[in-house]
Amino acid sequence: MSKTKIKNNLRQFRFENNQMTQAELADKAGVTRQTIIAIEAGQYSPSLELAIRIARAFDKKVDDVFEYEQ
Amino acid sequence: MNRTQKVAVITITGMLLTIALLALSLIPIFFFGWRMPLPARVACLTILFTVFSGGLFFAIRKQRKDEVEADERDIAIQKIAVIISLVSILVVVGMSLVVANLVWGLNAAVPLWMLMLLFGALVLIASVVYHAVILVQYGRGGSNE
Repeated sequence: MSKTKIKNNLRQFRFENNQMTQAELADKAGVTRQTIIAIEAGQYSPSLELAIRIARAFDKKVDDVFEYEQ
Repeated sequence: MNRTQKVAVITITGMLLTIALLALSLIPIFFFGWRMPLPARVACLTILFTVFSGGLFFAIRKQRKDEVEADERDIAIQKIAVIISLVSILVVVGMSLVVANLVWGLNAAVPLWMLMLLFGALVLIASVVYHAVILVQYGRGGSNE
């Protein structure tokens, strides 16, 4: 599967937030850990709703966490 | 492996086991006129029941109370799997018609039990394809693009 054009800083923000685990982020965002793994690896583009939930888990804006590669 | 993947693995295992057991019981009837004895049939059904019910019980039970059962990615993957399994039904029906036409001709009539067999085969094939597509998509990342 080709990688998406959506880049993300999930890994960086997880480490900046007390080394939050993927499972903890998944719980906060209300998804499975596999989905967080897929997003972090750039294999899955989250919906806007999920992107907002992930950004809120880090207390950030969506733009800070995700960026669209031109 | 999440719940959807576990259910897919168990269902594929169960379906393949069903196909193997069906072949074991039907092929001797067609070719040798030999029917599997009753204890063997009961044993086959017991094996199938154990694989399905035991496997599904362990797959479906929640490990945590607040565990997420399925999210948007799971649903997107399942939607694609449904479409592909429906396409597989069309392909199997189409191929069955072509083969029947080649073997018996356009004006032949087929007995009702053959349609029942075809229906059973379609259910098995669609189910295996559905769960196989789910596993393939998870393996490949399950992108929604």
